[in-house]
Amino acid sequence: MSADEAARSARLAPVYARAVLSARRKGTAVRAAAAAGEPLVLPSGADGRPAVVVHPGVAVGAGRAAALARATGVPLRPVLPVVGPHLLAFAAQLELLSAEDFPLPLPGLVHVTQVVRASRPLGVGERVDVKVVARGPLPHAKGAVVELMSTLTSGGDAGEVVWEGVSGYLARGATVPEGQAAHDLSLPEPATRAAARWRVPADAGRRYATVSGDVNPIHLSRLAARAFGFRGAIAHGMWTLARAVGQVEPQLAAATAGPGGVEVRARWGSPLLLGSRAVLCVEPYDAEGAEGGWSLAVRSGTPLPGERVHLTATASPLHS
Amino acid sequence: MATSTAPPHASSGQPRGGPGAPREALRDVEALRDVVVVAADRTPFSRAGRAYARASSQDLLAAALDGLTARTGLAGERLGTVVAGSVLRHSTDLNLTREALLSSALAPTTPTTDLAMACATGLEAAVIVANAIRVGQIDSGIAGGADSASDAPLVVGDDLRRTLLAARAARSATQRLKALAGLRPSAVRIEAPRNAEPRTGLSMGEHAALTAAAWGISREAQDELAAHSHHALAAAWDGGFFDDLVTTYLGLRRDDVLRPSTTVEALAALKPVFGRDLPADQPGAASMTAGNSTPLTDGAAVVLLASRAWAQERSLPVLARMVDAEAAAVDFVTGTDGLLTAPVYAMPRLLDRIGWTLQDADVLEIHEAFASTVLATLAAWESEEFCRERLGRPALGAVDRARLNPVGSSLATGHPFAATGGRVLATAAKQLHRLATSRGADDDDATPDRKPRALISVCAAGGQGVVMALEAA
Repeated sequence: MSADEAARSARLAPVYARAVLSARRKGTAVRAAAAAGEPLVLPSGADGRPAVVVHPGVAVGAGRAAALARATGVPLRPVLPVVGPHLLAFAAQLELLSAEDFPLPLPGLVHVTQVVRASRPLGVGERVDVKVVARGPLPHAKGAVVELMSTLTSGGDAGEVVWEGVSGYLARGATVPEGQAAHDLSLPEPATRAAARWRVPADAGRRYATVSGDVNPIHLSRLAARAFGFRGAIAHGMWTLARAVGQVEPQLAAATAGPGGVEVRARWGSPLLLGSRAVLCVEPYDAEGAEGGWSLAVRSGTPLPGERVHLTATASPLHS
Repeated sequence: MATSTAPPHASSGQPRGGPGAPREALRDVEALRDVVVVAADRTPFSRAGRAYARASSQDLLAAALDGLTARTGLAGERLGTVVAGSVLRHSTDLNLTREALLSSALAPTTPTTDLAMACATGLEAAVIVANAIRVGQIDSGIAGGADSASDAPLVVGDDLRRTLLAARAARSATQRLKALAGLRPSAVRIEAPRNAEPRTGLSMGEHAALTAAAWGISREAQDELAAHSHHALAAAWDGGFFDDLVTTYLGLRRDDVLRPSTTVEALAALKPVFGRDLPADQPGAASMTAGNSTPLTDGAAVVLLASRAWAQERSLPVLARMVDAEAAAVDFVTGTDGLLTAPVYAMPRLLDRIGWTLQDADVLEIHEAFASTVLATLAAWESEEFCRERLGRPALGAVDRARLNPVGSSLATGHPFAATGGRVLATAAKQLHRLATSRGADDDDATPDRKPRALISVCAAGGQGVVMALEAA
């Protein structure tokens, strides 16, 4: 672990610790509300608008970019991988999710979907302003989903939006006000053409936690993961996504040479256990009007009955 | 085409006219095509352990390929070949160039070859790509190289390696234990690659010190050359010379070995590091310092070569034409010649074949492995006695020092071994392009009968070297 990584982990760890301390109170409140049929309401700022967290002038430096590249098996380029800027978004998300007045307990929140719109690659060391806003909660088959919208802007308030992310976090069993459209993400059927065999390193959780600051114990310890109902420690969703998109990133770079950006849409399914094996399936995928995209799926094995899908995603050139 | 020899492909390769075509036809220089330098890209070079401490050779090579692809608009395009290599090499990098290409925006259908010729890797890669273009096998290709002294491989000792292999091959736990039990604690050691010649045990610097002493190269001359290299490179950076040759990598914009404000006096204050055991009264003994030797460096450089038609079809500019090249090797094992003196032999062979003189070169790029290497090379070419006895010809003569490494060389940029050839080739081609452009603009100075010319010389470990002739396109 380099010095800047250590420093960052040190910054995020207390945030996480506070979130854990408030988890019991928040969990009890959510369950009581659900039992009473009361809908969940997100906090508002003083002016009635949604609560916002802003991190101005942050960057992913060379040391952290290298650690991300090594952890996810992609080359260290002068620009970050397309999902790489999520590292910056996540720090702001964590602050929002762990705030005292945020109603859902952070441990137990599951990252179920992610959309990324990168209008251009973000340079290693390039400073951006990060803004995260919460939206929802929205109905979901298993509870309620909170959407965190992250916007990375270069060049000040009126600057260029470089990267946007929408992260869907599921709170199991929470209830939602009536009449809202369900949280949904349109994706093709999971790809079936096997392209790569993965051995998920046993230390992938620890390494990605070091890079991202996402020190959720379900990624670090088998016992902690079991306490949350998993069979063992599981891979970070963003690690799985970064590695899968990395497989087609050079092709995307070739397709978007010039002004175009990239859009990534992802939905996680069955948890991916550390130390397990998986198959990455890759197929060409043309979104509406955007040729040169890819459909990606991480599966537990070849497509057979009983086989699990850990990730379904698309990565497509973004034509504005 | 004015001059060429039959490239290796011509006699053993695939005749374009089909199986029945006479091989002799390909030996005819008229059947060979012009090869031009179209564009180039490199990372800024960085002292080992600094800006690129976490980057691998593969990362660096991919970055240079991406920079070149972006510069030329070749994303997604299939090229004829990419030939590149590295000197410090991990055993897992068996397909270094291929892996770097697959990380880049070039089409994954572009074939690649890994190549190794020590410090001449990058330039020899260009020779191989050029020859394939010349005979018509391919229309375009990239040559280059990358090295990371920061990310150098460590190897376990030979005894430990054999024991671990035996343990891995064992079929039972008992057998495995038995294999491991044979391991003595003294066998557990890790070896870093040494910058030493296997047959002499001398480091490259110690070899260069022997040559410096043999030619009586003074400390002052070496320090002057080093200072000039830094000042010339700094001026070139300030003048925008590298704007279309270098792409920022991991936040580094310029070569960080460069010290624009260094002086001969500052360099003179440094302690000698090589040749300290030579007799002190010998001129040139104990004259080599960290200031007039190149430091260990990380970086990558690539050059795009093509036929004229290929460049024209894509409206890409042409910087220079590659005229010819020559490799040479010397017997340094017996001390007959200095380790880094092979270019001394290669250059006259090249010049005689293409009918140039050393003084024809408007730009003379001699890789500064050490300042003393450049000065010893020039001294050998100036020596009537040496040229008569060893080269069997009159001396090549002195060169106008203003034409020597006019925009600085390895002492100021640093020397990531396999990347240096690409850097020097791009630097020479760009200078020729500028000379041709400025002459064209100023009619009084125009010499329409002769295009600007450049000669390149790169020495390498193992007593080898490659030289190349270029002409403005």
